[in-house]
Amino acid sequence: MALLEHRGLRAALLATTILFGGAVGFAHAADEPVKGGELKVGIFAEPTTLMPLSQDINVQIVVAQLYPSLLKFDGKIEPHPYLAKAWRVSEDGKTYEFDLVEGAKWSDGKPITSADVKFSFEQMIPQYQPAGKANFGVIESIDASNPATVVFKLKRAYAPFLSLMNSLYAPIVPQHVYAGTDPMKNENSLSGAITGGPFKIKEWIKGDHLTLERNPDAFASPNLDAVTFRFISDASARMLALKTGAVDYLPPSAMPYSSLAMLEGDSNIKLEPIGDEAAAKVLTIGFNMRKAPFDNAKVRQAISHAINNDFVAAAVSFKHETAAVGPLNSNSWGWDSSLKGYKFDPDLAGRMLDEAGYPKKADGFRFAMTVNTRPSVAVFQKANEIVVQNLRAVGIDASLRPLESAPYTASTYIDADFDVSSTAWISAFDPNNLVPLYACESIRPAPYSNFMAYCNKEVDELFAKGAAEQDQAKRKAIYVELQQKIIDDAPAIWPMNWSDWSAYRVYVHGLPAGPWDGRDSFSDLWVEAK
Amino acid sequence: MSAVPRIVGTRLLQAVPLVVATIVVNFAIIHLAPGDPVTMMVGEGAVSADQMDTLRKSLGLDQPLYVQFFSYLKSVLQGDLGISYVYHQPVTEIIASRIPATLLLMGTTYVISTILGIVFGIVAALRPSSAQDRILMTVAILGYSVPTFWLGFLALMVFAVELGWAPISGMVDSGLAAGSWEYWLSVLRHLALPAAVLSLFYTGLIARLMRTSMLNSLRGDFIVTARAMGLSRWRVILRHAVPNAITPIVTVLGLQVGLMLSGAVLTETVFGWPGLGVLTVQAVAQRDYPLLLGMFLLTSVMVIIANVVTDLVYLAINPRLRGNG
Repeated sequence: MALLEHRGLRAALLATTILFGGAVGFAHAADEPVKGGELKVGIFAEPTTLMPLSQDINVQIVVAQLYPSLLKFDGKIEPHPYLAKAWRVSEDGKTYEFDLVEGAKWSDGKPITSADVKFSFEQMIPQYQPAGKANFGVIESIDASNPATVVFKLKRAYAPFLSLMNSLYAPIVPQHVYAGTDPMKNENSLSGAITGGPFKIKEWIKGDHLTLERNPDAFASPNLDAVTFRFISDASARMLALKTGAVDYLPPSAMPYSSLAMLEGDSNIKLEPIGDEAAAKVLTIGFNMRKAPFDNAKVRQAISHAINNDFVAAAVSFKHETAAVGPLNSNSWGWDSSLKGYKFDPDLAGRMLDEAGYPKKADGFRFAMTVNTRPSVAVFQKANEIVVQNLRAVGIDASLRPLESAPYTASTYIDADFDVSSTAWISAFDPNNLVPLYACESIRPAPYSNFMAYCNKEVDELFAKGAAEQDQAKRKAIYVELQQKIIDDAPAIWPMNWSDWSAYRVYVHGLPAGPWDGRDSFSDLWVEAK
Repeated sequence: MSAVPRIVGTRLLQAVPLVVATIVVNFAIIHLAPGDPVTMMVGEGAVSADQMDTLRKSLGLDQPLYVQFFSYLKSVLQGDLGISYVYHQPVTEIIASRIPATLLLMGTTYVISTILGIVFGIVAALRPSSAQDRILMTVAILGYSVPTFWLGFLALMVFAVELGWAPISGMVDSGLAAGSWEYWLSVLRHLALPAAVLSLFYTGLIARLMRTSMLNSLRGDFIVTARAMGLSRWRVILRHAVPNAITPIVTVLGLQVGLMLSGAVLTETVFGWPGLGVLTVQAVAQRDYPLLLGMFLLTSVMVIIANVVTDLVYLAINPRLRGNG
């Protein structure tokens, strides 16, 4: 079986998965990186654990510095060597080989070997990483007979496989520490004592800050001497902290649109949707298609015409975003300008509702509905306030149903007790990521599933075709057809392309540009000497 | 004098059913609130129903509510508040790790605002409707009624952003050896703004109460008598008027002690102070039942204890209560 060298593979991966209109690359300047210095990061809550497979955003940004992954990625999702110094993929796309960096060690001196990789992918990731089964169910077997090389055999060709080898989805954990234990309860997940990433724990003042220092034994030596994470739960306080230089970097999870508006014009601060060139989301407001009148396509299409997407996008994002057309962000390689969405036309919406059998009654309304919203998520709240106004304008007696996080999740995903509800769907870096939201198989009472109960067999067939196809141009054609079908079925409205913005002081360079909102290795990051 | 031990005993006995009732109510409120901790824990990503069931079982959440309650009650009585769902550490340890920060902030505030509040109240009451009274009471009402988070931001804008005198957030700079001179200096610098903002609030509250109470006291017949006996003005004020005026203040101060440990949620949030208030808010958001119950229990028990202690202090400073207790 002929194996392609990894150079060739990189080109192939680029061709099969990612292509952009314009070149968007690293966030850093052309200057030589400086060794040394400290980076202070403002995050919105203290990490609750140091469990390497946690789904908590504030844990992930820390453990990405503490544990290795096979590869790391730039803004184009192009893979770069990390724990794996080289890799090869077979021509049939079913065998992946990774050569590990020589001499890589855990902080207790034990070597990092292919056995750790095998253990992580077999015992840890599928069981404890919520997306683990979906992401890596395609693995048939893993061969770790050579400690320096790990070989994955897949059940079928799976184009997104390499792009999942990042620290968010696939951290490598020490087998000798985690074997046979529940990683959530393992002592090491609380202390972070035995790790193997570019940084290690220096001090953790509970509730205040967590400081990491350079791991001198790491396989990847970082530029920085130290990274401090400060826990600042209030958005305005975080913004002030950045303005005064008390922190140097606010990752997207710590940067609401309102802060963006307030930081604009400060020449010491840069605002960029780093990494979101490829991974941006779409604000998706989905119908509960299990119940009338939302089981009627004509009603959903009418409502799609009733919502002023341009206005929602501008108002919610302080004019930083545009209206979306369909389920994919328009930055995605799978998106195409030929896609036909719904024009804002309240009169047409009214006529369509009349035809669908919902004329205005004596009270001036056709029917009543509620709009689930989360007041703590500004994007949802503001967008839904406008949606309610738009709905009332066409004679639908709509009202907001504000729920906080836990009941919101229960109502939307578990109990399916809602009329419309909002979600942020990350799909851009590979359109295959639409499967959990729009495929028939994804209808189940679990978080981040197909809560709309949308099911179209033709769409499912296109999903299968798209994942099996290796040629990027052909994949794109498949996904464009798929998107138009979804748009025509109107299981949701898509008012806004939603990017995650980072804010940082101008002396910071090389922020992780991968699509995971900064939850990635800081090994290339550097700060100008002061 | 034999009444005193009896009163103390009664008060303590009354506190026991109160604590138990508190546990029941806390438990019921939390479990009746909508939302499921398991759903919160799995976060983003696709999770199978099996995985969620396993998780639910491992937390004991598959048991009927009354079984969960009795197992909780049993543990609490043994001093075990359970393991946090989110932190995977004993609740007692998590709470204990945040108590010093909250005590430091609230204790400082408490001392400053008690002293200033009483002094300002007395000064204002001595010359009602004078300029000094009006100025002090205007400041007191402002301090008491302006929202602390707003005042907090104002203070941050002025002292941290514009003047650069104070740090923005947190309790201590990174990289300082714990317990060193530099460490404590850094803590003091971080403490100044939140303590000042909170003190303004509590000083306002206490000063207004003290003024009213002092005015009542100054109108009393015993003051006229004391003056008639030829005692000096300051002796009358300090020995006779103030001790009488201070009794209602003790009630308020006592209640505040109880609430102190619950932390100042808004102020802690604005200043990023690593105390119990922020911890509680996060526990609510994440449906961390054991941690939340632990916090509620701590606050409730502290309020009850503070009430008992306040009653006892009453006995000490008000001889009239001792006789007919």
